[in-house]
Amino acid sequence: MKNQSKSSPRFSFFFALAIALSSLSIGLSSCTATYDAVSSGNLQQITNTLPTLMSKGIGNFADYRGEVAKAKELLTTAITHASTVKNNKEAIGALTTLNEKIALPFFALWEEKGKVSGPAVDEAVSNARKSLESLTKIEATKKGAPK
Amino acid sequence: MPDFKNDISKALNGLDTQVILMVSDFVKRRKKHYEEAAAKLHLELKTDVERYGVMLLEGVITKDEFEMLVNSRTGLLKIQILEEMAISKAKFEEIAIEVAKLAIKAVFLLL
Repeated sequence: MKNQSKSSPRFSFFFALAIALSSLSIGLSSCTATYDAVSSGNLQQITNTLPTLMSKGIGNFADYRGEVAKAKELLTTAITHASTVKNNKEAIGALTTLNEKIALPFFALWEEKGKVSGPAVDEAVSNARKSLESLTKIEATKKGAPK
Repeated sequence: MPDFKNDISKALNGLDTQVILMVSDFVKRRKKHYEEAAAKLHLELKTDVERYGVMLLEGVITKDEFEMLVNSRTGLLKIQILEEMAISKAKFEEIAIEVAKLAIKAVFLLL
């Protein structure tokens, strides 16, 4: 009796519908980016280096030229990789903004003036740290991100 | 076949109120959250830019540094808004998945 009911058109119809609805739920969850170790590693490296390097802004730029070049490269690498991840609009936007509005203008001023004043450095570092906190939260919203 | 369609239609229609309540509750909660977040972000931005202004007037920072800081603070605001968007998107997906699960459950119950 059970076998008969399973092979009936009614069962087949419901089964097909159930599969269609399951696919819908899977499809809905694919609107957010998937967590990946490279993005996470890049962000961790930026978090470990950028604020510390910016805090050296009270010193001579010439002494930190190499480190600044590395930090710029790190940011570019992170943006380039983020752009390859699907549905990653928020992370790309946040990284690009961190680079273009926070890091690069600070480095440009530091290079141009040779030094940045202590209070300006403190404020800029605080903005960079808060931005990185937001970026960490964006990473945490990704599918499969460690909780 | 029309009978099956009727059964499904009835089962799914029975979910209408539940789905409407789930979604409207979600929208209300997010709206309240957005209003609070917008007020908080605005206040923080105002406080910070005012502080930069005072530092400039007192000669603690230069005009170039002031401009760099305002630019940087605007960037931070944009990043914080992107953070809110990412969180909302993830939460929206949670509710959409809940609605889909409800429909799947209703159809499975007919089997």
